[in-house]
Amino acid sequence: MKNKIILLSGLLVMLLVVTATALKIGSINISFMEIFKALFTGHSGAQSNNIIITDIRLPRIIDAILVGGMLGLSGAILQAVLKNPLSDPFITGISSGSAFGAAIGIVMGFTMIILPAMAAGIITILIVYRFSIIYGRLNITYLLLTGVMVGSLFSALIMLLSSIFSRDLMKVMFWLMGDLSGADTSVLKYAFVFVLAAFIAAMYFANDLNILSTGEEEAGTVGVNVEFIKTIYFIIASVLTGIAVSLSGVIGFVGLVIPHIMRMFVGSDMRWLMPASFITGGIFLLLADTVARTIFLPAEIPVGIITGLIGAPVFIFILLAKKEV
Amino acid sequence: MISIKNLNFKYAGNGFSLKNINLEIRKGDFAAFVGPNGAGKSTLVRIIAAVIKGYSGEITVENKELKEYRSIELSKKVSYIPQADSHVFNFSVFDIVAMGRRPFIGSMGLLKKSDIEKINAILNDYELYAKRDKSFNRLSGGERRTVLIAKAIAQEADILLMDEPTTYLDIHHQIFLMDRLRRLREENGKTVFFISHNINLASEYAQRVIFIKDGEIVNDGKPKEVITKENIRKIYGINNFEIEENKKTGAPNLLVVPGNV
Amino acid sequence: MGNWNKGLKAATIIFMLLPNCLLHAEPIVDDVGRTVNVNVPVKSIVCLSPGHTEILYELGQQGKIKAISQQCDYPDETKTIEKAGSFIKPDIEKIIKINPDVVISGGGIQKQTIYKLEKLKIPVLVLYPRDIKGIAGDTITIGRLTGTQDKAKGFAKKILDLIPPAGKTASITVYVELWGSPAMSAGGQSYIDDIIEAAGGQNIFKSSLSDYPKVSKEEIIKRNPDIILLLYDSEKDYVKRKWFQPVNAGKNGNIFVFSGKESDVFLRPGPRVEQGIQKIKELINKAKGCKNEK
Repeated sequence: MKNKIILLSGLLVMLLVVTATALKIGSINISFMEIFKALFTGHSGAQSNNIIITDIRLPRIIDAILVGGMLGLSGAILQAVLKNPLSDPFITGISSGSAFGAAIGIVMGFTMIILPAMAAGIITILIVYRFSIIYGRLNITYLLLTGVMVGSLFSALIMLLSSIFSRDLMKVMFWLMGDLSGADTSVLKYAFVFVLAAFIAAMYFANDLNILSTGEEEAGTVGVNVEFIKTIYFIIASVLTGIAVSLSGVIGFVGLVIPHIMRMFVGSDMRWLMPASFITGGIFLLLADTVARTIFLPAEIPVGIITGLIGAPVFIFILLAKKEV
Repeated sequence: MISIKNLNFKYAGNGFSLKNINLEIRKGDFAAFVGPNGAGKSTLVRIIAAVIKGYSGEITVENKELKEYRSIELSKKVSYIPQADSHVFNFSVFDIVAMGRRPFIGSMGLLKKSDIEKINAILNDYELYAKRDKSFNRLSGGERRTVLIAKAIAQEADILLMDEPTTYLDIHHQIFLMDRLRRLREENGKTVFFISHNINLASEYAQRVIFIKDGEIVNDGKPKEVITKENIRKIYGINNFEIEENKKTGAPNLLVVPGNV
Repeated sequence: MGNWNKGLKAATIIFMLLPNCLLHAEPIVDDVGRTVNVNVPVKSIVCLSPGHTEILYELGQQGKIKAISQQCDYPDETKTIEKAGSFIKPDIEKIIKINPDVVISGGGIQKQTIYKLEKLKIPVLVLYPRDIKGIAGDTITIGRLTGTQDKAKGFAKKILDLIPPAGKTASITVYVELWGSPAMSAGGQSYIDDIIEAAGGQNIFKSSLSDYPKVSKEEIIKRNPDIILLLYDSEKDYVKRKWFQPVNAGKNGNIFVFSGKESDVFLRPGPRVEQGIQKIKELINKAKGCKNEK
């Protein structure tokens, strides 16, 4: 238990360090003194530095931490609910649904893409949920199947849309590849509230999720309300994924690999795994995004490319080092 | 305690069914369900444990319809140990047994001091205390089985339903477990129903043996009454055996006599 | 022998007169290096490239156009011309029915159409101008196609004159944004970069290798553009964008939006290139004025 507390504290420290670094580097290197002044007093040397820190880098950093955290947390939850350590948050099809909403938004010239994306995401959750209820219970196998089918359907629709409106093809592609540069402080405030609520709810029933992850029968006979727990965690994970995708596009790898890796360090107890996955997801995405926006200046690489390129070797390395899954 | 009247059940899409089951489970019973593979023993136990739903007929637990119980209410009265026991995710032995305390603690799983003491006492009793931090998935089949039984004990339910509890255990653990179960019944007044393929174990320990064949109860009574040559021949379709009384205990034992099939 | 000489002289005179009044097959090299034999001058054209439809109108050859793509929308008279599908998906069957003397294609996404038409022996020219010079070259090609070489030469020269002399450094910097989320600009190889240069401005992302790079807001601030051009339907409060505030364009109110058809003069290589350059010149002069006031 002590080890786990130390680990979580260590992760929080790492988060702060990465945040400080991300504030510092970019097109213009800004000293820590200036960063401090800009954040806490609002007056920095140059007005442009002020704006860069508070209106460009800080929202983007918060966006990265939130989205990375949401994906990590949602991945951890889904792996437990589906009893499959190889699930990722996009397996429920909601990412494709949100992406389709975003594609429609782009093609129709919406300025706030997040709105149609979120709307489409919610509709997707409802469709998948509705088709997974068999004999009055949420059937996990049907959930997986429906999720995969719905995901494929929406992917095909996105391609159809892009081929009709080919002028917007590149915009849709860029959005799909994941992008945190559109971070908007007002939207982030709402997202933060949702994330907080979702996190609290997820932690409240965490031990029941532990018990559920050992088997539905075993959980039911020990007093867990299996249908309720399955449903509420499916909803929490889906909403978190939907928000993440609506904010920033489809960023792969985080939701699959982070919970997997954290399980090697904190075990399968969701009361530790969920916070650990959230924080580590945030650290990882923040690192990846900082690399994506600085390595080939003045251009930016889509962050999804970096999460894949860094994530895969790191994952393999850890697998080999620990020699267990 | 549990009253089953006219229970019928059919798996959707499968022919399999339970036909017209009538059974009274009385307090303090120590009973074995015995019978051929696929007879319906496991199905029956799982229906009583409310794992399988959708039966027709009447099942009442302490005078309340099974269908009307909420999970947490039922779990205080009935505990169930399944056959399958390997988990996808890894927890320690202590954690698994602690899951048995769920009826007494909230969703967050915060264990009180008394909970922890009880768990440790059970671990001790089942020779698991030294292994309490070990990973459940790394244990042998028999050890895992013992942990799951300890978990059911932690539930403090008066009725224990067990699906083949001794099947993967070596003789030490088989006897160890059966002795524990007998003690639970005698000292704590628990009611124990278990499925077994070991007719002799059932005969020695259970005070009631229920034979199930093709979805129906064909015999129900004391071991001496139901474990007869004629019954065994009818139920299992075998001839190469003898029924002899255990000189020490008086219980009927089935002795295998290899010969021409 | 005398008859033979007379015959030869007659044949020579007739032969010299032929090129100017009779059809002949001419090999024409298109913008992607293909050599295509076309019977010039052509009588019927299907034009699938909006910019080149405009060139045809410029040379007065609209009468020869039998069909155009849906995206060919300038000038207004194009409304009355039959449409043969969209830019992305041309209507091959219609083109076959028309059986034109030549098809002008914008290339790229129309590849499949081009292959199919070639198989049916319909000549297809791929014209894809990447800069102002390219527009001039395409004008000449279309002149050859339609027998209006002189007019074409004249117009091409006018266009080439728009290209500024090399080595001149611009004083006014321009940030052009083609899309907002994520922010996409235009690199040095793009057409809009050419126009900006011709107007006397400097594209702040000229050094970018890709045509349409995704750019960082910090870089925009760092490079401090004097003018910002938004070439899409942006949100109403674009002036309030935080990263526009500290740059010259934001401070002096030199942020301009051209959406929908208005942006075509900047994005569609064609005869209206002069209009595009002129518009930007006006904006640059305004910006110069602001700078001088300081």
